[in-house]
Amino acid sequence: MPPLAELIHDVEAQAINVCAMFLLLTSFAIVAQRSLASCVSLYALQSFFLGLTAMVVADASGVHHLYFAAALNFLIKAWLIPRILHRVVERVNVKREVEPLVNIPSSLLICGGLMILALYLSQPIKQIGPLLTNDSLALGLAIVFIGCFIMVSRRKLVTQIVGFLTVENGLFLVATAITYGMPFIVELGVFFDILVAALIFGVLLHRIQDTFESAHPTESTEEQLGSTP
Amino acid sequence: MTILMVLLGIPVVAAVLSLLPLPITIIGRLTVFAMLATLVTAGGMVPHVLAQGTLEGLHHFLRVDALSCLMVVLISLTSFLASFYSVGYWESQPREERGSDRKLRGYYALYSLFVASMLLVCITDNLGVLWVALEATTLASAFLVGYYNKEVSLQAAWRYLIICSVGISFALIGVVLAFASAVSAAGFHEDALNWSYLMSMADQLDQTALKLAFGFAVVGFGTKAGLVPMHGWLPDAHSEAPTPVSALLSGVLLKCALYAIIRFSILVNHGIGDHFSGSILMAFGFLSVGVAALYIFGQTHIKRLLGYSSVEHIGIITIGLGFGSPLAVFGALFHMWNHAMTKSLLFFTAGNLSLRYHTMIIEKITGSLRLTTGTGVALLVGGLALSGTPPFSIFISEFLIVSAGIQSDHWVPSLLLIVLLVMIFAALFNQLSPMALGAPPEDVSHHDTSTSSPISSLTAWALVIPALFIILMGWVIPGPLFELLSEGTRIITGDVPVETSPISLLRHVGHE
Repeated sequence: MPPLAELIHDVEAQAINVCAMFLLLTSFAIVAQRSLASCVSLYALQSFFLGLTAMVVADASGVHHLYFAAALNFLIKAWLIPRILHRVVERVNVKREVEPLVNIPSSLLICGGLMILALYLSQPIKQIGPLLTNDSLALGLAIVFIGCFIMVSRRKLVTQIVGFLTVENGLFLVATAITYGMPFIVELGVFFDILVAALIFGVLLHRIQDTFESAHPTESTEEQLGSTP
Repeated sequence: MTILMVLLGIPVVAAVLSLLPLPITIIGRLTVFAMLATLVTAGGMVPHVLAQGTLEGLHHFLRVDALSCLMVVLISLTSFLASFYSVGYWESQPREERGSDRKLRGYYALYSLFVASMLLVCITDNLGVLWVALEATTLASAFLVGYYNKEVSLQAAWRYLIICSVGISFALIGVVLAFASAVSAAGFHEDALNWSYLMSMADQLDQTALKLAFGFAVVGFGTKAGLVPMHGWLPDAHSEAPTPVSALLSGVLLKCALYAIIRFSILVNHGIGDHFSGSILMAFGFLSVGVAALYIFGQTHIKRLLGYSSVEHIGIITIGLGFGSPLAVFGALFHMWNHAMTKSLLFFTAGNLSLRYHTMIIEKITGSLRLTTGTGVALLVGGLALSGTPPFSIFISEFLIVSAGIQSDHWVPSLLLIVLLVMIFAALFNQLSPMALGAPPEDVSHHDTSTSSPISSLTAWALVIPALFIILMGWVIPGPLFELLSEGTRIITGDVPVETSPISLLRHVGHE
């Protein structure tokens, strides 16, 4: 019978892993999703799990500034940014589908491959991180790679934004996994950057649509917003 | 030191003031004045840095050594020139091109913020803040790139924003890895993300983690620096942005990203002991120069041509850093300056030509020497300098890099570099000479009175300083700049170029 402290440690580590697992699952779900609006909702869910992971890690490790990071996560990534994106999706007057360049089953297969790559890459880094969150490192890297894949394999501009945000979520998980998060000032800066980036993306998307509509009033905006610039 | 706060504060205040409902001519001049003040402040730092080695501020948050100082002066000089050019450029543009006054206010505000974020990249000691600031440069300049609100320029802005943001995410993994290895080696420390702290314990850091960190950093920051194959955003952004912004992007933004790579490579070389970073940098450098050489031949748009030429010069600097000997690094740092000045000159020239000819297509711009003598001369001087012709300053720095390569027994890379440089010389000469020589097209009149807004003489005056710089620096490097370059080289390689190297030539000239 292991001592109680060790048992608690085990439970906490497992809780972190479960949360991180859910994060990865939502990334796969985004890849498998056809409707743009659900992509955004899934992103919100993913950010929610990220906040949850940060909270569990904060609790288990006693690194208190992670609570702030978790709160910011819930506020900005799980609520504010998805709200902005939902508006953008409603405004964009196109068939609200993803239009993958690679069909969905193959996409999922490729993401499986990326997962293996992430596991392989994380092996040498693992020993420098704290034991508690060791296993989420590979998951974080996998999410980063999957985010990149979403960006290159989907034609709609909105999905490119979701891909970018997924990459950022993966990064946050990586940072939490190997260092219990970065110094607070840096983390604050990163959050600020992401929020501003999301806003600029939204504005640019509106403008791209406006200029397209005034230049080609008869055509649908389908082709324009569908294609990668 | 408060001087660092002043340096950052001036452009931020200028950004806020730009939004006030003042007449746009005043706001333009205010921005020029603010940039001049920044330049003076940056210049005022130089003697302190040379005397004390480093300046620190805000509890180890800000730190300026010779390398950062070199960047800060370069950034403020280029931003001053580009803001000066901006005023003339916008005044010469017809109203429908220029947009409303409100939009121009936004332009000047973002311009100042862009400069402030670039300065922050170079004066912060914290690698995480460096990352945040570098991402902020992208955010501040995205709307500047898409200023014209046309389909192509908005798409260029989109590409710029998305490629750079995702690329730089990888650099954040590099930063996190460096931080994690510091924490696991010596426990948590307030300053564990500070470059100087990391340097002080570089030999205790986990080697594998450092190597991986460097790999991520090169890919991430390299995206922003425009290294091939991550350069996809660069030609579009450079050609679609308003001309003063193109000059800033090419002249200093790319170098800020390179600066971040340099900081990482110093750390990794210290931690691992051999020149691990050199071969990686050289590979990226050669790829960039080679691909740029091919693309320069086929360009039809003058600003795209200049964009690809930036890829080439960034490649040359990276190769110099990759050679790693003190002489090569000295050449690379000097090349940063020369390229910034030459490229500003050429972008301003291209802007002036487009105001006159109302096109950016190379074929349609002919005989500028006869039509607008000043701009034509600037085009010839800039073009010759850019292609590496003596006696201009770019020739000197390229010569230093190549001879350093041969000295350090990198025979094959050095010869390859020479071949590529000759190719690029031919391509540029082929493209630019008809623009200056030849006969002007008949539909462009000698005295441009047809358009509503006459071309402001400020656009011609903006050419003077960069032109003087590239001509004079081919002969003499002023003492303080020479010392900054040497100190910067010492920070990177741990040594200064020896007296017997080709540099002694410059040194003697410089000390007369």
